[in-house]
Amino acid sequence: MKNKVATAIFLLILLGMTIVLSFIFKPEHESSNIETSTEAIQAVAKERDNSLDVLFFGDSECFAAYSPLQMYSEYGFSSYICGTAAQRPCDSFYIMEEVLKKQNPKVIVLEANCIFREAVDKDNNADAFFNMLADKFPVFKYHVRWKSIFRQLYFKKYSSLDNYKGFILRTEIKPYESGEYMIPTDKKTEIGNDNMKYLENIINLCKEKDISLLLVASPSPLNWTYRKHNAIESISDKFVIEFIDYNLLTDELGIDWNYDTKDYGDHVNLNGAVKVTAAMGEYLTNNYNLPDHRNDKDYYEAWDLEAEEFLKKYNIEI
Amino acid sequence: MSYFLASYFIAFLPIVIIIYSLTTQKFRWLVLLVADYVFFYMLSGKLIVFLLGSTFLAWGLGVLIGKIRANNEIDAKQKQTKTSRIMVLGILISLGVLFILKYFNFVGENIGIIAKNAGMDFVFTPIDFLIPIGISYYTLQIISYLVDVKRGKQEAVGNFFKIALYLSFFPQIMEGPISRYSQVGEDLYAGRKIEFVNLKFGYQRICWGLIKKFIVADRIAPLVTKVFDDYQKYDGSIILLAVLAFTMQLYAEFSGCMDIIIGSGEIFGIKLPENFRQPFFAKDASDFWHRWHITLGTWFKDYIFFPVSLAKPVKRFAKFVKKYLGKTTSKFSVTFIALFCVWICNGLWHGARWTFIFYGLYYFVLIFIENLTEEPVKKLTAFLHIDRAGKGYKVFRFVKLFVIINLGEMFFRAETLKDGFLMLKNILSNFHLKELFANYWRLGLDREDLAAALVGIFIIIVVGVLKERGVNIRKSIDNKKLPLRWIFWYLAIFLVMVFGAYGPGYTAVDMIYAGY
Repeated sequence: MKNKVATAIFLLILLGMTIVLSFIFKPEHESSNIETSTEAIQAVAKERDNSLDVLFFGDSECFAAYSPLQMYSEYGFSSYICGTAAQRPCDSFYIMEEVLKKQNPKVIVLEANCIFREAVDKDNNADAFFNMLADKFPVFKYHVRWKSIFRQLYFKKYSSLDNYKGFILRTEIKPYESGEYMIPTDKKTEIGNDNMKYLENIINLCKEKDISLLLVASPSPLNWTYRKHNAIESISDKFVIEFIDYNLLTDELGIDWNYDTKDYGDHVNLNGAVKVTAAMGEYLTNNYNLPDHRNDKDYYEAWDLEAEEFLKKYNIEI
Repeated sequence: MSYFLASYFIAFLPIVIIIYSLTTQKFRWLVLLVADYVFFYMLSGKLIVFLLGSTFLAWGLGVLIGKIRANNEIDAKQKQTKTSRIMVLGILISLGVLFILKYFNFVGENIGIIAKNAGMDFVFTPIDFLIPIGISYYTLQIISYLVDVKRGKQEAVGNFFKIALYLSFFPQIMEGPISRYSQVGEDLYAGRKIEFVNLKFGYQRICWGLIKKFIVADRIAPLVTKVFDDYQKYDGSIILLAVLAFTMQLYAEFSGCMDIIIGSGEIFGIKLPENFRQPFFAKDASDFWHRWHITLGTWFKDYIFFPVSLAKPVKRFAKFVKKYLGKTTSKFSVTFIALFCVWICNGLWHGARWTFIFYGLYYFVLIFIENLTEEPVKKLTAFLHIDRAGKGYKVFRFVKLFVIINLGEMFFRAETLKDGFLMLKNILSNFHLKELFANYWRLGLDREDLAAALVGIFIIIVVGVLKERGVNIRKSIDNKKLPLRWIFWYLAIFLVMVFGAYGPGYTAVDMIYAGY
């Protein structure tokens, strides 16, 4: 009897502690990849409050194509890439909500490829019981956040990696050689319910905060199709949002797939990014009323100096 | 289903425990048997017929051998021949099924290669067999049972269900330990009451197994896979790190699984044989196999090494050698033959791959050399006044064995033999520590994962050292005051819950030894 009581108390305390831990670990937002999302939020947090004019969101297509320091040198507005690997709209929304607590941008650019990213292998344990348990006690699902909790402890010492305001630069050249990929059609790629829901959340959040939303498709022969173009175009019409598809403008941009991709047409490399960034910078400057910070002493150290160093290091002529 | 899934240790096992304890003693074995078959069905579905068939075979032939042995009308010699024949029939059928499922394609492919090289027009089409999980383990149990009954070491078991229980006990069906009927058979049938102390110790051991698996093994698995899959891309220093990591992964995963298995058995008062005893503290390669996958080693010793050593042709050969080359050579020649058989079988048991055969032969050569040099080394160390019990010698021995173990596991894990040798070449000729320090973070582990893995490995080492010194860790924790020991176990549970490499963000890694 004594043992039974002791066991029951032991298990009750265990249950209680699991519930407490679940409270600690459950994030405020749903995200398909808590870790990379937290990293992005932490990276943007290093920027001065209310100092960013444009924020970019999306998957790797986003951080491979747009270089904030180049746009700054050329046009003087500040921007930051909040794109993360395999980002999905739920992640974009999560990061956006967090970042907008401290930043007040005029424009948000959403790379459209992420809208087609479906949850991969949601239950990688293939264990229905575990998934049920994880729904009841989020600690089982989100415990990996211990890493970001730890990181916050030594955050100040965390050195910035080789990324330039979120732009991740690759110089390798692996050509794409399969020719034209934007073959006109009337068909549309379907957008999943979950992604649509979060896209609408993003649209509403931007409206609420009076931020202009711009949808963009970066050049990517391996990822982009005319069907995806049509799907985004109909969203653009329905919600009255600007949409640029650079995949239809590769000739105007001067993209040469023999030199401008790092991985056989999956992403642009630095050569390609310079071209896409130039076009994006011009478009943003011409269409939105963005300030020029180039003679502003508040921006001097974090932007002018960094941009100069960056352009010199990679021999980029603007 | 797998022992590392929450559905096993939080759902399946507790349900069996509850039903078992609510049942009267007389029918508890039935609860276990139903649990066994439900478990096996969840694993292998229709392939359960293989298990059932093998069980009938073991039971039927066992009974037959028992009857002949008990028959006083037959003379001893005839008994011997008849029982031998039945036993051999049983072994051949069991091994035949195993051979067809596991080795048929391997043999076919190699014949195909030879035929192609000889210019013959022969194309082998591999057959996609569905292999029931656990067959490599229960087949050995069947053979040991039949041989023991034939030898008279074991009474033939008349009750079919007892044999069924012995061959299908759910905690051990996937990965062993390979047990003998005499070790567990009757315990499984006894239906003992679940004692609180067993329940407690059992679950504590399960928790320890989970720590090994989720803090260490699954965490370092991505690094191992990444480097072994693309070793050409990496510096020798990184390959060496991956080899060390694989040995650690294999140990943490397999011994961790044993903790869960033996812990599960313990709850029902069933003492399954141990499979590990601090293998890295072994004296030499031979001793290593008395401490690593112990039940496989003892099985080979009892059912291959001794029978081969005592077989008539081998004895005749030994006599012949003795006559012309002397007593010592004769002794070693018998050891040579028997060891060779053991290690070829050991290699093949792991699967039909040349890397496994090489792995077996690697230990054959090492252990045979150890046999040959035992006396000379003793004399040499005495001559040089080296203290074999001294610290220096022990450190030397440890390092030597550590290299041997890791080298073996490298070939064991390599895709092909060629890959294994190329990796070795890379480690020896293209080794730059600078590369390792510059690139360790690119190998699929971030610094937090790395830190957690190192802490886990440190804990495993400390526990190993304490056990080797004869400390009974769980008893000493159990002797502490209640708040202290509860805090200890809560910490252990939360270590897995929070820092374990499971769930979203990690890839679940299959049980390695269940694939053999």
